[in-house]
Amino acid sequence: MRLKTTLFGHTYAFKDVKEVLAKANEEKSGDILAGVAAESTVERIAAKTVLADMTLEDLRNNPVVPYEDDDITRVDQDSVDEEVFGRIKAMTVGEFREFLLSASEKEIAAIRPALTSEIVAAVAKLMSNMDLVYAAKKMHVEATCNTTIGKPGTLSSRLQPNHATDDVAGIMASVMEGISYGVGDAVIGLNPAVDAIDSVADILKEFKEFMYKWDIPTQNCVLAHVTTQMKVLERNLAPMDLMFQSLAGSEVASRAFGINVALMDEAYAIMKERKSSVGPNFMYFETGQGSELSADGNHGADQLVMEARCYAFAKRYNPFLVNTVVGFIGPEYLYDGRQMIRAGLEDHFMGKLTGIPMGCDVCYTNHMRADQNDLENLAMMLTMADCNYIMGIPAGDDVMLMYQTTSYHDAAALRRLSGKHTIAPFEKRMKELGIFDEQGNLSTIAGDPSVFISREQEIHLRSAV
Amino acid sequence: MKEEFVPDVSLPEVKDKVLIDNPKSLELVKRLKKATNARLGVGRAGDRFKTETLLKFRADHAIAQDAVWTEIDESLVDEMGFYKVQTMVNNKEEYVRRPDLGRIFSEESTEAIKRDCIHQPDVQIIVADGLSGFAINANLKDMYAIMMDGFREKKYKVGTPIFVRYSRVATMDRISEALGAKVTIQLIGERPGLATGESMSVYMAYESSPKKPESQRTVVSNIYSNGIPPIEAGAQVVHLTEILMREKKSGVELKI
Amino acid sequence: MEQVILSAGIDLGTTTSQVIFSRIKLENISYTAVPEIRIKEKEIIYKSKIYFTPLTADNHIDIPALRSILQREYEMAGISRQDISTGAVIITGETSRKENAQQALEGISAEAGDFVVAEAGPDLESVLAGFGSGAAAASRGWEGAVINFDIGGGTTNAAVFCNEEIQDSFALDIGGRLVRLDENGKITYISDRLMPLIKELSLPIEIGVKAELDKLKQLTDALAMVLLHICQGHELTAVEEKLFINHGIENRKYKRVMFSGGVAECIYDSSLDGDYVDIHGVNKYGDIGPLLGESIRQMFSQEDEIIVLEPREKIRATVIGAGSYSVRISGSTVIMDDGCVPLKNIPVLRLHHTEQEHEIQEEYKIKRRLYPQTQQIAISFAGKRAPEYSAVKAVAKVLADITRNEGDILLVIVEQDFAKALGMLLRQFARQHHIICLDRIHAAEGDYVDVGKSVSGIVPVAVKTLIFKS
Repeated sequence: MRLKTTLFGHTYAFKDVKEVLAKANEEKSGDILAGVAAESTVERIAAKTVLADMTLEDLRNNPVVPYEDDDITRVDQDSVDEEVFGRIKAMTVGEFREFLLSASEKEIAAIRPALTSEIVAAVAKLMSNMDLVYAAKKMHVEATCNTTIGKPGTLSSRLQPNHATDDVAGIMASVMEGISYGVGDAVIGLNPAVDAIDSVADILKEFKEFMYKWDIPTQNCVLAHVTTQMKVLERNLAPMDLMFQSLAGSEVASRAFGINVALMDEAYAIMKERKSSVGPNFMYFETGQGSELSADGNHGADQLVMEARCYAFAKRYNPFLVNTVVGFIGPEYLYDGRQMIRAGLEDHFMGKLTGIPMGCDVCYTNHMRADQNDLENLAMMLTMADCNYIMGIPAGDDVMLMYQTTSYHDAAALRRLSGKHTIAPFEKRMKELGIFDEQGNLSTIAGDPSVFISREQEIHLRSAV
Repeated sequence: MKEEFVPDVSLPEVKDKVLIDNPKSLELVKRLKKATNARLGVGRAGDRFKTETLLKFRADHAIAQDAVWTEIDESLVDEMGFYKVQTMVNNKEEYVRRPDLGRIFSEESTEAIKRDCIHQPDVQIIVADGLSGFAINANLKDMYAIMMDGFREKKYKVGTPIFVRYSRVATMDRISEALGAKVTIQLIGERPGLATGESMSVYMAYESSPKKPESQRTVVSNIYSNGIPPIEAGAQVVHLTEILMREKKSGVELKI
Repeated sequence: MEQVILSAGIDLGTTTSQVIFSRIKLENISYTAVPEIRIKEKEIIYKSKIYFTPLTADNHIDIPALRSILQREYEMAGISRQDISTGAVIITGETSRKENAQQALEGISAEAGDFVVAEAGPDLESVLAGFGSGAAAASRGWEGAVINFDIGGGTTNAAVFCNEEIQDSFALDIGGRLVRLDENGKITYISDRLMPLIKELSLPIEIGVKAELDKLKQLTDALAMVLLHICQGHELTAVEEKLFINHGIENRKYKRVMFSGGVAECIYDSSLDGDYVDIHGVNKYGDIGPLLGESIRQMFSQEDEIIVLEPREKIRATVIGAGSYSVRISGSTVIMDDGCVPLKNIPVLRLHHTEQEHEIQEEYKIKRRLYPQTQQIAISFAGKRAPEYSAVKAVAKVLADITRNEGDILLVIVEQDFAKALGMLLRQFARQHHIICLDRIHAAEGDYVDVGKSVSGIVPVAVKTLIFKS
């Protein structure tokens, strides 16, 4: 393995794979904060050059966190199909990039079982933004819970009806408006303000009732901590189609999230037994670059490779949904719109390459150097990259988490811009409800939550007589 | 001469408008809006926002951004006689990028604090710009006044009030340690939300120290004219100070 | 963090009386050191059977009999009077006009608990019934207002809700027991209040006469018609207008209607249909209640414009409303002195001008004269949202000053969230007083308030609006 190169008469020598990976990363404030970033732009390119020359075997043999120390490294390494790996291990990262850009969808799918997080992250570091879109567009990962998402030609959305105090009426108001924009075919999923068993159960029930009443083909989820959701299941308090957890890319960082592999195995098992959904995919994970450093669990590695490790962790549980919450963590990790866009494209690409059904929470916080235009740029690029789903929230303003993400309008506009559709059964139902026109675009009555006035609860006296 | 104004889109009530064309039930949309702060009932122009929705949104984001990036106007803390120090951070951009530097002081600054400020106070008040200098200038005056009245009433020994530029919450630990304070109270500008650049938080700890975990802190947040009124927050802080002084602990150890 | 309090509701009606107990779950939803308490859940944990209100031979409430009913019901529920932190007694319908109502209220406090709020007055009763029936809840998320008619033995109490808020309330002399019959169908009683209507319809309905079914039906149809006309926003005739108690209503249309009260049991129960073929079938309870229910059902079912909603509770609506909805909670940052409570029936002195110190002094002086010097009063005003410190300090000084020569307790209630700040200042300026300073409660001129012991830092307050609109 060669760790040195010369550029413009300057020698650049790196100490190990981890350093090469870190310095090859596009500029991120989080890597600077961690003290692992390249010190100059040329050093960054030098690192990329050295990285391009490494073999996939070099990367496999040098996980950024040692196998003995970390349960996620073990999950990742132990899942490798050795036979497939044997076929590609001699490929350099540079060659691997070219393979991904030129191979067919089928050929890429065939080598997926041989990949580790370090390989996935390494090749992302060599790709330009358009490369990331180009390669991701030929990787489709479908998953089935109650419905199937990720089919080519679809762009789904999560309806995110967050409320400052989890008031059920307020939450349902956002649900009604969201569905009236054709949002929610991925999931109706709430981030609860209060992580309490009873209120989580109440909200799950409320979502399910709405789904039944209006015959909406989707899944319900309340994104509480996994242990809270396990209690809801143990006590049979509410129907739960999808189980959620935020993931981090190392055992140490996972501890800060209150989880480890053993706990997630347990959660998966109970969910498998008690879930209310029908398909084989019933887990939902969120991730985001930088969370390992913020939990002091980055092990001196850059945030991109740590993020890739989250996907290996996620893959173990055959998830239905995985998305990076790309601009949520703050400017000390992703400084501005440029870094946020880059990270969004990287994460989406890496997730797809790992083989998980990847979506993206395209978002930014108020202390980032980013605005609505950056968000819209990334959303359009990801749509072009065949991202499985994005978020949908009233006018882009999350009144609970206090950040901005894609709006109900954005989801509808992106579908129209790209000619994509919601998943077929959802589209069919939206047409029946008059929300979509024949082409699957918003009809004149779309965007009006009061179309969900129900007559069912009104018992007419005459029918009682 | 009479001036004509274009309507102010920054007013909170702009959010209350229903902009949907011909809703099936305007009354229901109004009620749905009442149940949540979310921006519902905004209607659409094609699949995009109406102009008013977009401008309102951009205005609300603009004030939040300016709150973060505008240097604090220090005339108020000067006027109120605060002792001023700066963390290891040199400018706003570094402040945002380097939270680690915003938590610590240079040795000289620490020495200066030790040299110039009252030692062993019962109550040490610290004001920090944090992520919004606007928050400090909007809330400090009234909140400080009621706190000082309350502490005087309780006959607490109040330390030299200190203003810290480019500060994260953790500076309170360093100052408390340097001066041997019993209860340390830090008023700090919060990360702005949309339309709310003026929200302030208070962190309090008993014998605040860098050696203790963050859970040592008792927190009051969302202090501004549309959240917890500053004077009410001040009264609550006085009340909490009494509890901290009596219990000799703070944060999660304290069951309030 | 959760805390549970028990609440009692006692309804002494014209005909029937009942007790319910409910459990109110409070939770603190705040992450920070400023609590934010909200009512998480209200659950009825015990419903007594429905008793005929015990009356003495001369039509007074039989207090000893009532006390033994209460004793028995508390025992059956396994609840002692000390367990109860809030609640209300409602003396409803014609009963409230009985001269011994006040005596009755005093008579039962030993059994029921100190907490209890003695209530009377048809407007309040209407509101409580509307909460108890579920009309208030049904007005949320739906099109237009919901009007609830709680039709009891003596009166009909109507309340209009929009988005769970009360919009209007009124009461009418329409009830199931305004005409009573003996087992042979002979009329034994006719309420005076019905006489003008009977006269206008020229109906041969007189005491001692054997009732004819179709004549009685004409009367109940006419009563049902009044309710329908109210919903349709029709002009009422002079005779119909006379059925209103205390005050009339504005003409408005109500598309969504709910019925509760004893008569509602007959409105919604279509299985009773066959009973009405003859007078014996109708005369199940010795009154016109079932027939009135039938008239209402027929009349409203013919109206396509009007939707009749199913109530959550019918005969128990008022008592459930009393038990669960009569008490409000203060804001979470207040100044409280639990040694001074419960305070009951405290008249509210409302200050409308609190901008200037001299205005406060003048307004207070004028209004304070209405009450004896020794009378405990509650001072209430709105206050500004996020007021300035100097302004609140000035108000605190004036309040301390003008109440200097009054009793032990200085009770101040404001609407905006600054009671802790104001109360802290009052403690400084009015050292001789025990200070209770509460916020987020609206108490209007002429209201009375009851203040209970604090629970999780918040204070239960019952605000009783006794003014009758005219």
